[in-house]
Order: sequence, then structure tokens, then C-alpha cells
Amino acid sequence: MKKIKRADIKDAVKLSAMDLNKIHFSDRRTVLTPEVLEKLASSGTVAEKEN
Amino acid sequence: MAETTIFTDFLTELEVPHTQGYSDEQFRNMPFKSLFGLSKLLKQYGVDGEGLRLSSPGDISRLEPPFIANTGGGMVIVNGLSGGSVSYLTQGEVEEMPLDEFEKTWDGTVFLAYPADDSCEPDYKVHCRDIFIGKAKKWGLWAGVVALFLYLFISNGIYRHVSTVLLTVINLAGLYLTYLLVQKSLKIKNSIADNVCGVLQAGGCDSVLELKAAKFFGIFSWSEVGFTYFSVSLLALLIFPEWIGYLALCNACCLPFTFWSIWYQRFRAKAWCTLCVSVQCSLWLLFFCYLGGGWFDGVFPLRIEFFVLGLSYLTVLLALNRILPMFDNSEK
Repeated sequence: MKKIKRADIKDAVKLSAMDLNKIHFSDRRTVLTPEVLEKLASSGTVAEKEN
Repeated sequence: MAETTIFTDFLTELEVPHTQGYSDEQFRNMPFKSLFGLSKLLKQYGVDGEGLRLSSPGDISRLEPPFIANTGGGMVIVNGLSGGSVSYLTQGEVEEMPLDEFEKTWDGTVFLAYPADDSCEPDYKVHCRDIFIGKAKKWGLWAGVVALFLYLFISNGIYRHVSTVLLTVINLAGLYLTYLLVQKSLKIKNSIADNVCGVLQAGGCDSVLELKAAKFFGIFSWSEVGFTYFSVSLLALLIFPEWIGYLALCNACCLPFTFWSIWYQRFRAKAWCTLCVSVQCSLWLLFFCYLGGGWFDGVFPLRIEFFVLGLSYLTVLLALNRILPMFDNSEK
């Protein structure tokens, strides 16, 4: 079992159950290679709350 | 092994004991297909979790992997942060990129999981036992098939003649090729079939199998017919080697089909199906083995066994035609 230290970042905002429920998993099985992510970044696509 | 989901990949990274089949099924069936649903699912495994939104991109370096990060293209599992680069899992594939580039597409949202010492898949031992039993059944089945094959091969003297040994080998090869063809026609993914199909022409098998001519009178697919032919021929050779003359005759009857198949691929479909061409070659190799072994001698007059053999081919074909649609993966 991996032992993960609890995050201690003061400015971090803990997401509520409702916030978490707005972030969905996509049905698409796209492999997000660095090239794909860079293309998305350059086109200004940052993650939406709904994928 | 079937493709994994982000859930089982995450459990693997967290080193939480789990079985892929059960965990993937739980993920696919979770009522809330969101990070909320994932947090509830992880709770069932005894894993605490929380979602955070970090205001400063640089804060990501202060997190301990593995964790899930939300990007412009979807969620990934970050499993390494070192030397200004980030390593992450996406659809089971490991990728690496500079951290500053990753931060441009990441929205600041992360999901962190904290496994406890006793975190584990519910009923893990039962699932492991079920997997073991499943594997044991599969090995038992194959062991039985191989044992029976060897018994028949030796006790019926198939090994005594070069021609009959070659006939057995070629029938086995033909059976495997038609098995791959059947899988292709049912849209069942098989990387071996894809690799073989790419030899003569990329995508050739798919193009040819989509055509109306891929079905015999629109009822039976040629892949079903081929699989029937090689399976019945192999079994008849092993169990009733005295029928070899009739097997030779049936093989000769199949040869005109090989000309039609090659002609159709060359001039009508204008695409080459490597698997189909390999099956045609197998039929011709069988013919030369029958001819070289002198097995066409004394075939006539035909006796009832010839018609029993014909009926066997027909019965197996009808049975396959009935059963195979249950495995069809094509979208209706």
C-alpha cells in the first residue's frame, strides 16, 4: 500500500461534493499524449468542469 | 487482458489490492460518473479521498503522486514529478512532458487519495479465487483438448505418413486463420488478426469482409464456412482416418472457390484480404498433400460415409451460424 502524505497547501480550496460531481469522466478513450495536450493548451482549451 | 479504466489504473498506482474485472465493472456502473462518484467508490475500498483546486500552478510540485489531475482533454493520473517534468498515465499509457507545458492545460483541479493499511477491494479474496478457478478451467480445457488430440494422432496412426502429418498441420493452420477471420467479421478486436491483415494491404480484410460477397448466398459468411470446413476436416481426419479419401474429394470440391475468391478480390473488391488469401493457399496445400499421398485413389464408388461427412459439414455450419451472432460486436 502506498503511503500518501496529506496535502498541506494553505491556498488550496477543498472541493465540495457538488463541485466534484461537476467534473465528469469522458466516454472517449483518447490517449492524451504531450502533443495532444500542447495542442489543447495552444487552442486555449483548459479543462471545463464537464469533460 | 481487457483495457483498463482510470479507476483500476489509479488503484494500481496506489498499490491497493484489487482485481481488474470487478473494479472496472464497478467504475463503469457507478451512478455518478464524476469525481464525486469516484470518491464514493474509493470509500468502498477503504480509501479516503479529496478534491482540491490549487490557485498557483507551481503548487502541483508540492503534491505527492499518484493523484488525478484534470486537463483540457480529460483526466490523467500523475504518477511522477521530478526534474521539471511530469509523468502521467492516460488510458493506461505512460507519457511524460515538461511540467510548465502540463500546467498550461491543467485547470488546477486535483483528486488525491489516501489509502489506509487495510484498504482493499471488497471481497478481494473471493474475486481472486474466482479468477484462479476461471484460469484453471481454461487450462484444464486446453490440456484436455491437447491430450485428446495427441491420443487420436498417435492411436490412429496419423503420424505414420508424412502426408497425413502435413494434412493435420495445414488443417490446424487453416482453422486458426478462419478463427481470426470469424473474429474480424464479428468485429472482435484481435491484434494478431490486425497484424496479419496488414501484410498484403492495410485494412484489406475489413474492406473485403464488409462486402455482400463475403456472405454465401447472403446466409452464411465465408469465414463461418471456412471455420466449419477446417474444424470438421481436422476432426474427421483424427477420428475417422479411413475417410481420408472422402476428405480429399471434399477438398477438391472447394478449389473452384479459391479462383473465385482471388478473382473477386483482384477485380471487384480491388482490395486484398491477407487472411482470405492465406486460407486459399491452405486449401491448395491440402490438395497437394492429398494428391501426393495418393488419397484420391479408390474414392469411387461413393459410400454412405461420404454423405455422413457432407452432413457433418452442414450441421456444424448451421450450428455455428446460430451461435456466432451472440458474439457479434458490430453496432446495430
